[in-house]
Amino acid sequence: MSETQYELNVGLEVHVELATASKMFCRCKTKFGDPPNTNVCPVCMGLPGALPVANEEAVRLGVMAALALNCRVNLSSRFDRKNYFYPDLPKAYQISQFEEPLAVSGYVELASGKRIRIRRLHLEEDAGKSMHAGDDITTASYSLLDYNRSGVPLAEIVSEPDISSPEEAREYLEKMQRTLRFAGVSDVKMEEGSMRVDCNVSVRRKGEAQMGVPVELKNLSSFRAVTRALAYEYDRQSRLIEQGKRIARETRHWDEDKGVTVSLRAKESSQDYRYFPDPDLPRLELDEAFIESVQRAMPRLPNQVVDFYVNVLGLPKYDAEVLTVDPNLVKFFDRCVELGGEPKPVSNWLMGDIMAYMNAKGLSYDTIPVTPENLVAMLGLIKDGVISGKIAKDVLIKMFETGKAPGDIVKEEGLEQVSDDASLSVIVDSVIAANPEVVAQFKAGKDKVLGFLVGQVMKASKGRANPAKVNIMLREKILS
Amino acid sequence: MKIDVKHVADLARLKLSEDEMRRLEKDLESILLRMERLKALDVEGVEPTFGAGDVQRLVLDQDRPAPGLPREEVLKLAPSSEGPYVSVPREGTPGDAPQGSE
Repeated sequence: MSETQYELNVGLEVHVELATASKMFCRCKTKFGDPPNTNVCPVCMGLPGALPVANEEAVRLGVMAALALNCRVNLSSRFDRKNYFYPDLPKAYQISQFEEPLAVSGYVELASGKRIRIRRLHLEEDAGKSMHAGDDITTASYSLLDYNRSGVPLAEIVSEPDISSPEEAREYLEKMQRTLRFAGVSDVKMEEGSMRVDCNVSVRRKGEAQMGVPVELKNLSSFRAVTRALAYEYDRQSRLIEQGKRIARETRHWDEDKGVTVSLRAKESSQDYRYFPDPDLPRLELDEAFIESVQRAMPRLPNQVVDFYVNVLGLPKYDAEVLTVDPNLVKFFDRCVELGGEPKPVSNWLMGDIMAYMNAKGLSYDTIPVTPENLVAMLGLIKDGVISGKIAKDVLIKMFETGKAPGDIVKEEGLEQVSDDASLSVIVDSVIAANPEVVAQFKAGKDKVLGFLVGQVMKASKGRANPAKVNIMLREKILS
Repeated sequence: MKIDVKHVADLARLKLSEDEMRRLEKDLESILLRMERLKALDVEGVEPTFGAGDVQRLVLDQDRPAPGLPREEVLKLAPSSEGPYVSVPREGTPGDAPQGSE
């Protein structure tokens, strides 16, 4: 089977929890990780007679997200009830926006320049969390419910089926995650569930006008799971088409361990959500002045930061992309540059030793263990020849561990570069004396062997010798 | 107008006897009949409304957390609970119904 005959069409539904302090329609706390059922009230428990009161900040963050994703915000939108029975939904309906969403017609632009269109962005409330007890048939089969998450504000962002490869899906999600993180609308953490992804996947023969039958994928708990599941579905569906078989319209569950998707349910049977306008909630009416105020408050978004780094600071595009993974990293970098740090060396140290250390320790970018002041001071020491780049790596580790200024560490540990002729001369002489064969080779014109001798001097000086000086001194002493 | 009582009952997770279904079919039909009469009214040029009352614009509240119900009280309201959780009979097989919000 030639797979290139087939085309993949993917649309993504992304849910993000909006970073409010209280819930969408009541003032219960939204804090992640609180003890079960401690942030609940009659509204989010769906008790009779309780009435929803909408959260202004959730609306503001929803508009912020919409603008950051290039959407058009509808000045008038409406809330509907989506009816279904599930224990994590105490009212037996979810308040969502169906007919008239908050925003429409946005896009995310990929590095290739291709735009993945966003069909709509709407506000809704999250459901509670259920844990299934007694997976064994012999034990009691029941579910345990925690309603702390019930009613937490969500923005649902639905793309058009413009994504045509697993890699594009990943890039779309990463770009969206960065943008929303920089806009400050959500934590967007897949691992904590503040960002969740469902896929609609279809496959068709290339050139065919009609889209294939969409299959919905669930349980995608990481970007990696998304790409793996899409690759698997592309394979499965194109093989079915090849065999002349029908693709069922269904929901499939990604099994991370086995690396396969399994059928959960036929779509037809459970799709009757009987949406209708929520009579408890009048229309959401916004005015231009409000939208403009949100636009004015918009923080710099990753694309703008990348442009600035490349065009103004002269950083390579690669560096700019790596640094914009997190707004705190950008803040740190910007501060270093403000303090007079040269952009490229600062970027090198951040992307190299600092990120490596932070990854190893599992630190997040809001707790970078050195200050911009100290990093810039360290770069100054290298530039002034006080320490070598190699010694600086050790100094940096000490800075992480002690929080001390690099100048103090260098003094206390006696790490200054040895540049004075008298001290260097002693070491250079001893290295020449110890390596007569190599010295002879160099004399015979084998220029490359000098590197070995420089290395020996560096070793003997415990990395503190000034390599440029050593180089010159060795040449002089051997050839004179 | 005919109504599929069995389908409606399934959606509402109700188990009905043949008798009840026959009775409800009649009731629901008479309700629909009333709606049909409303549909006959001329509403040309009248803005649709979706709620009762005078408030036509959603009132927004400030994002200030306030205490809800104590957990003991919440759990007392539930038919059954286990530890800090509300417990319910398992709904079909896992994933049989939409999980979480959709």
